[in-house]
Amino acid sequence: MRELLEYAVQGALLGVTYGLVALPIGLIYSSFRVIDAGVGSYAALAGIVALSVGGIAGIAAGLAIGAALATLVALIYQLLVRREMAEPVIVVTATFAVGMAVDSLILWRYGTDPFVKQTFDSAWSIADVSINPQSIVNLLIGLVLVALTAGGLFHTSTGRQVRASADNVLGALLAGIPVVRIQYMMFAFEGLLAAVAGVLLVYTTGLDFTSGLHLTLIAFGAAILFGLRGPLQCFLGGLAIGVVEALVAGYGSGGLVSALPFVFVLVILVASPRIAEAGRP
Amino acid sequence: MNELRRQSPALSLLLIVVVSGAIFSGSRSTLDTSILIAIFSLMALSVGISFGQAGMMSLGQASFAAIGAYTTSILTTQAGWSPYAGLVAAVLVPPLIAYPLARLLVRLSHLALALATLFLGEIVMIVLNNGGDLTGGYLGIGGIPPISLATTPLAFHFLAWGCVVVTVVLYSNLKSSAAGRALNTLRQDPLRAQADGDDGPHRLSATFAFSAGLCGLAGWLYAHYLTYVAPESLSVSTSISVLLMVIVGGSRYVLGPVVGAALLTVLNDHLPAEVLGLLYGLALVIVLVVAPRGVMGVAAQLLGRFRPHPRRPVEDSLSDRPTHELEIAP
Repeated sequence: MRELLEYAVQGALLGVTYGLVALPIGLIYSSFRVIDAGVGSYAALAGIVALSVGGIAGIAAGLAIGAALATLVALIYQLLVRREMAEPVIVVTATFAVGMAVDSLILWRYGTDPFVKQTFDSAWSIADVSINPQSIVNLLIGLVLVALTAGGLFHTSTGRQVRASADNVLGALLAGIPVVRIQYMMFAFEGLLAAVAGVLLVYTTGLDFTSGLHLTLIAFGAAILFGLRGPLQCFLGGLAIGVVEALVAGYGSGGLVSALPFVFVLVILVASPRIAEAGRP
Repeated sequence: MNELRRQSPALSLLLIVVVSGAIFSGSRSTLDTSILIAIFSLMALSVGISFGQAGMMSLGQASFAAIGAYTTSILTTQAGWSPYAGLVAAVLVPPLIAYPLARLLVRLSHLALALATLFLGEIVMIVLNNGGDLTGGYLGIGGIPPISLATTPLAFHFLAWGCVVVTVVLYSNLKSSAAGRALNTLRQDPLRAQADGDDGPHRLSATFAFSAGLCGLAGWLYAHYLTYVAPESLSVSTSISVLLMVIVGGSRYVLGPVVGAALLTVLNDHLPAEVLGLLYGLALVIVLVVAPRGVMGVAAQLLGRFRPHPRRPVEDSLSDRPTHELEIAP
């Protein structure tokens, strides 16, 4: 029983990091019905820059880079919209391209070594379960970000404008909503969220040049688990994937268990075809 | 005359293959590059058929090539089969996996389908990495026997490009056939296709399975040319690179995937590995934004400017358009 509890707690705390990357994916999907597949790469670069620069300046630089990269993606999105090419599948391809470029930039500039730093010397023991204090910090920051994002999206006039723009761009424009400005703002906020996730990850499990695509895939799985409905669901999806992964790794054996989160996501996609239905002709 | 015009991409390609084979017959490194271009062209053509023709974007094509490559590698090194028997298995196993999978996947939106194939690619990678003695794990399988018909690089050049030319002929036929028009209707207006009584899920799944078979053929060539295959050889990043080749070349043109494969494989040979992803990523974004019809689209547009405009016969004026537009024209 204690073993089960330990796996579940460790899994949930690992899942917090997935949830943190899933949060911006859910935010952008809620806002524009598109998937930003570069989000894991923004997180990876932001975290590595934060650690390599160091201190508060490093964290600020990481956050700024995350926001800047996502703003660049917003510019690409706008160009695709102007050329009437902003089909979801084209946008996801373009964001994959940006992610690929960022991963390559990490390899070129920082090499193949992993970047990781432990902020706490010793682990806490709560109910005989060993817990890394950094995971608790991640959980608290994650909950604050979820509350801020959900509150901003569902309980402010700006949030209403975002949702109006997502539902009907033309209607929103006719109602005087500055749709383009809102889109840039949301992408920048998405990048900021991804960068926070990256900074927390580099102080928890670490990052390297291969982390970007892996993070995106796991986070996308987390985001669709409860149907890409909103920030809280995406975050909870991350926790659930983390718990499943920890339980399977704990009680299963062999490297094949690492495929289970992907099988899980594939099954959900096939079983619930309405998920990510944007772009269906 | 119409048949000749329809096969003009294959004939042009055949001419280039023969001439380049004669010119570079003494250059091992050029022939190596040429063979890799042919192998990637097959994978890119498979994406061209499923995405350019049927609208199904797959991010898992390299995994089907890996399945084909591993199938022939296991059969030839562990079961003692000949490479030709391995060819049959390599071409048949990927469609046998792809068809039932596609029956489930084609119900999804284009976005969900693309992401599902990406996850499929990751799963295949993990299975190959953890397949123990059967797949050789991270180390892969070495000592794969070469093909007796193509023991020299020049012979392999002609074999690989022969496969590409045949594929281009089949693709050109598909585009102008009733099946191709039905696929186009499914791409443009699925409701109309359903109203016409077309069995869309079967047709799309069969197209997906055919494209998986092409990837299996590419995997067979890859395994027997390099005589070694590992999980990283044909990974998810290869799938993304192949998609990039198709978009850069022009997904709606028969030769677009081949042109994209040639451009990016040559770039791959001449640029440092660390910056490849950076350049690939930037190239993909630029092409998507500036030239969504790819290099072939730009070339067609430029050629169109030099053609006389007034009193052109209807057929000539149509020839500027991508072939798919010709086929759906009344």
